[in-house]
Amino acid sequence: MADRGDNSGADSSAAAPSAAAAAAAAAGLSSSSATNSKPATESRKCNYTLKFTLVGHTKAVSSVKFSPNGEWLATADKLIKIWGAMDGKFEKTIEGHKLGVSDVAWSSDSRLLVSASDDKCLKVWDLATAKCLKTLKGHTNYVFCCNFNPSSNLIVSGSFDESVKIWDVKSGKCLRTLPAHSDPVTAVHFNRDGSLIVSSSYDGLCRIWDTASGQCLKTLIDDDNPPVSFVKFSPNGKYILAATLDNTLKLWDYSKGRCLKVYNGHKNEKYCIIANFSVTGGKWIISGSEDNMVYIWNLQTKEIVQKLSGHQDVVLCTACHPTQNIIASAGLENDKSIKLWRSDF
Amino acid sequence: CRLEPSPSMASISEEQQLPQKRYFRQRAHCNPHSRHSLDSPSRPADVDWPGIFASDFKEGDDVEFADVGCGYGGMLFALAELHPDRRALGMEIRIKVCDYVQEKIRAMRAAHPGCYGNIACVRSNAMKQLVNYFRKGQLSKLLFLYPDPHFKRAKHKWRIISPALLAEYAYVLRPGGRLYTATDVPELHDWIVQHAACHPLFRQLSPDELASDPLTPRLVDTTEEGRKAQREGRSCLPAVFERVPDPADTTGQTGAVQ
Repeated sequence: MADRGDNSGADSSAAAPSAAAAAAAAAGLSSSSATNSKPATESRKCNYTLKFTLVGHTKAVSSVKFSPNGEWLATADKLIKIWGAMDGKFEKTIEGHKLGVSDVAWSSDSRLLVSASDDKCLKVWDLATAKCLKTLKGHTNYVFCCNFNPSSNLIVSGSFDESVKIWDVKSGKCLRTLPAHSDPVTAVHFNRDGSLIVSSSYDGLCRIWDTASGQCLKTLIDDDNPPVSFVKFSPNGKYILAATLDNTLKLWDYSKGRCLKVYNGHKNEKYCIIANFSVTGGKWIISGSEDNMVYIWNLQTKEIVQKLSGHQDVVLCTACHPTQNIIASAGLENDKSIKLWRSDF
Repeated sequence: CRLEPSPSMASISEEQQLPQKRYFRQRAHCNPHSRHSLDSPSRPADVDWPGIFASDFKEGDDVEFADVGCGYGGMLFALAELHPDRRALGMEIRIKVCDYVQEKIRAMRAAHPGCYGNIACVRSNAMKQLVNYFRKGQLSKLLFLYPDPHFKRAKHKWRIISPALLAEYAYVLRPGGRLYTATDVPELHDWIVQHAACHPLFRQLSPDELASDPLTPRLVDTTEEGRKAQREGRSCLPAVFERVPDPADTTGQTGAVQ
């Protein structure tokens, strides 16, 4: 079994970190270490290696997410499973949806989860009791994506019914329906202060919405408009990362409506593969790929710094731990396993 | 759910399945003045009609109807069915949308042998190229359904109905031929009526004449824009004009447009 990342150059060859940078990295595998060694971070490569393979799902996994407090990993097929984030130890199963689940998300306090299902509902779960607190009904087709806002009093969802809905967590009521797109909505995400929502769709558009008024503030459009399979805000809220089904990831300055970076080399034409910003060590862009690998790019230089191999099928979802250089990835049908990878940088 | 792949474009035209609009979407607004790289024939005699229609053209076989800005082809397919013995050409400036129409025509011909051979779509900028395709008086129907309203005053010159363009339309339309317009934008409708009715070579049809034209109801329900307007409760405002003979034209020549 391949326990090492595919890029064998990462361990020994070019871009060997300076002593100071290495010390900083070793001292704390958390985000603040990066600031001491900024120039070296740009050229350093990561060295993710496989630490754990989690087996237990009987179907392919559609979503993996770390809890904000860094303790748990949630994974979903029709059932939602909770695992220890650091040791991969299975914790519990949460069940209740009647059909497949496409997305799962954590509240900011890591106490609640929300899941989006083909049964046209979302469900809000209490982690501690594994009970369903609320069922959010209203979408008229598969619910595909979901997220809490930072204050976690709201949930945003996107559906095959082409709309985006904003829900009140406490009451379970739909507060607003945005006629967001003319094709299935593939991703929805709040920005840092919850004032904006970004949505993406097969209709080729990314749209930015004002949470309070529901107004569309911006539509991002490129020369061509291939289906957009995923979008999210950067951690600092200034940029958005968008994946399109033409094997491309783009970083946009959405206020200027300009594409700043393009990442490619991976394969993505069929599935809504999740992409991530990794900011705990070096600044990377992380995405699964239809060639069964996890791709890692240097955010600034756009170079592929590592390709993680080991999955036996398409890698649909990946997640980055909030404080440690840990990546979780999950494969489709032929694989069904979840892998946890760790890096020094 | 997320585990299902979305079908790729490649799989569509292999089988005789109808193409899916989602893979051919392109934003509605397009700059008609930009130098799109478009092939255009230098004159009507050079047009490769058999190539465009992928069918044989017999003696006397001629394209009589043109749908300018045909979009996803709703009206074209209706014309194919209403007038199986006449040929209609759709002209569409957006590549992907034109590709969609061509794909759909191929698929419909395969599914219904002997039908839909009388329609075709070309990627072209009708504002510039109409007279490259059509001889004087060739057309008996010219359609402009839900054109871009170009709301801002500075952009009014881009509107597809304007004094200069009406002269070209009068050129390609034969006397007695009809110019059809439809829009859900009242201000644009007024503009169209004002300009076309004032033009010496056009006469607006009376309500009775409009009602008795079998194409009139089709102006509302065949196109994407028309159906969307209906869904959203906006009324369709049709305006149809007859190309009247030029009283001054005794020789049959009105100065060919090069």
